[in-house]
Amino acid sequence: MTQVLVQTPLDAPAPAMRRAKKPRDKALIALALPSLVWYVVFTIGPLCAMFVVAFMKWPGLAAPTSFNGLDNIRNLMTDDRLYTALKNTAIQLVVSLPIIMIGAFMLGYFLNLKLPGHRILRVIMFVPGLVSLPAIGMLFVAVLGPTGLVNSMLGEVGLDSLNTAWLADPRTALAALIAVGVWSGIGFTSILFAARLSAIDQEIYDAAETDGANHWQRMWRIAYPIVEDYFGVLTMLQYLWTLFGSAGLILLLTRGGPGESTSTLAWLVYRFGFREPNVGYSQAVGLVLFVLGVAGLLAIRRAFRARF
Amino acid sequence: MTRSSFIRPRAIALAVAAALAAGSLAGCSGKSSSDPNTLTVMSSFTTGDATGNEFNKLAKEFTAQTGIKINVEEVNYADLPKVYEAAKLANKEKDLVIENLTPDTTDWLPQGQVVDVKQYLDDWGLTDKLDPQAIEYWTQGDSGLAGFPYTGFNWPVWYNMDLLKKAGITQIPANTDELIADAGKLRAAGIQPMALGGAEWPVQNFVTWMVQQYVAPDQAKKLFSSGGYCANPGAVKGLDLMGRLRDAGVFIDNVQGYTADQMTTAYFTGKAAIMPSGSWGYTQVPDAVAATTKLAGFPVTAGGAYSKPTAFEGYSDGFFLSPNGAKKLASVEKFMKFMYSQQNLQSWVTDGSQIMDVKPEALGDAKSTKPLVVQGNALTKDVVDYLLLPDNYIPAGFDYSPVASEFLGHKGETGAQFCKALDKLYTDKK
Repeated sequence: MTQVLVQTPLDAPAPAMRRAKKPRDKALIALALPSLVWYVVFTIGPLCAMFVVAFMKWPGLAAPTSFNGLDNIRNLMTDDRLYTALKNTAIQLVVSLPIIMIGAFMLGYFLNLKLPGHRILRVIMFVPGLVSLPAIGMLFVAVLGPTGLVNSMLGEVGLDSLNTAWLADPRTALAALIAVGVWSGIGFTSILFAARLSAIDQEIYDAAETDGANHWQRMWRIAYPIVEDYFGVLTMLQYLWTLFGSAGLILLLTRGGPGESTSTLAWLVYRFGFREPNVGYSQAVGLVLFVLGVAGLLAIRRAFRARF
Repeated sequence: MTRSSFIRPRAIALAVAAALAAGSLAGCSGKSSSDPNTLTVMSSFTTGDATGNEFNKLAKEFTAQTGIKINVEEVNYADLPKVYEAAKLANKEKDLVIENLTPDTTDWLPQGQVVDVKQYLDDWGLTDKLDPQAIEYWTQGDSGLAGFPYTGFNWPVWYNMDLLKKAGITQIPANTDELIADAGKLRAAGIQPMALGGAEWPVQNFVTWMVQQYVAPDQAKKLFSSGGYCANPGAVKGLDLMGRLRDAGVFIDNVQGYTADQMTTAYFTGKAAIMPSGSWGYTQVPDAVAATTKLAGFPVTAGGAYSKPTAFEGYSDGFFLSPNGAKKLASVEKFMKFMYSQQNLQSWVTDGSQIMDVKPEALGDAKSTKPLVVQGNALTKDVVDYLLLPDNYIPAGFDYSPVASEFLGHKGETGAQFCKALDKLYTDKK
């Protein structure tokens, strides 16, 4: 990427063009104002509210409220449910993020080869993105339930001894949840990668092929460096979806159990907010989540920043 | 393809998508009518079920008689509390709410989300019709009466006698040792013994069932209200009993993953021979299974607190009156008098096959002909000991099921270990 910087002499008069644009700029600002107000009220407002509510005693949505200083934070620091959730969240991110991102990139590259049937394959890959979360929940209760598809298949091939309640066994519940997350995320992300990879000039691949590069080398030494910034953006998005969005699947499949086996930070926010009504405490967990979200974004941005 | 011909289908597609989105958003809007001649009801009685069908029938009759419209929004009973609370925050709540008094709803009256109906019950002449124990159950100390008690339930153990016979068992087990022995015989015959919703609310109830095998009601009240399981030797013995049943293979395989629905499905389809479940299922069970089902209490535990098999009975659904509903008292009064009229109470028994929270004389000679309802009604205190129903004592928002599910999945775990997880629920709350 090349940037051309044109330096304006310090003593030069301001360009007349800028003055001429001013009325138009004002009109644009006026037109943008409603959406700006909307954004401030409905996006920035709730975010600020989180910082206030986290310091309140609020036992249930309709219950009376009062400020309780740092009590929520203090209690949270000694609450082992937070640390279990932190551990589960970390496992979920460390396992699912690389699988989804690397897998999706490779699938995206494969789709971009435009082999026979690639259009059908694209549709198939995109299908999980079209299935609503409740439908995914129902589907995987049927697949992973005690009498579900997985156990039935194991029984058919004589592996009854491996039968278990996949979503209710502490040894398998988190892994099952991560697998569902990967299933629903990888196809959609691969389509996004395929779209970006299709913009790479075919001549670059042809030149690499002429030089003897195989698919693996073309994928990781040609295509990846070209789309690395895009890879970073999708990694950021996937990180946020996984970090903040896990509560939905957990609610549908495990409700954080058995015990605390599948409890994540996002689940704790929901659990304390709605199931064990303690809204202030819930938002204190929300603060932890917010900090992790920002820290993760900065780390990913730094890892994938352009180095040229 | 020209640019305009390319844009047109895309614009049409966008317009269709926007219309669909707008339509679905419009469908989401919940209205609460301020018209005094319209009563809005959020109901856990759902169409297709005996309760929903009966309620809808009576609501139509009420409208025909009085001209007062009844707008019903049906919500799954498990989701209803949050749906109501969200609407209440915006002061758009329905006038009446049909729901159980459980840990999800016990804080409604103290928090002012519903109004005390004690005075209305007296003023409208309904107090004399109601079972005094139902009124006591729905009374929340100084806060008042949480709602109008309406339907009740019993909660015994269901035994599929055909399946028991296939395993060579001719009588239902009289004690827990026999239950364990019978479970072995059933497994040997390739039949799963006891279905239980180990991942959801049925397991919470079952934990309290086992604990009460060794704990008297006064102590049980304290345990359920404020914990202290590990400090109570009887409670630990009860949890040990549950572990013993688990290790002996009494429960269906992978019981810890079963939902409430999967539990009833396993029993209703003949995959499991035994199930602890309530009278709400009497009207849903297939006829063939109903014909072979025998209802009884949970077998007697040697050295336990009760000498007869044990079961639960209680007071489930009632009508909560919201602050919006309190603004339409004239219509609410007519509606509640209509619902408690003898003719309609009888209809709930004969057509709806429900157990009503009223005195026997309020029902006259009405009887259900459903075989399981008849059997359930025959479970009098001469036959079974009724345990303390924990729902009004376990604090709002508590859920034993995650830790109980974990216990069911951990063979060899003892009551002394499980009690710590239960007590932790209470200490975490503090």
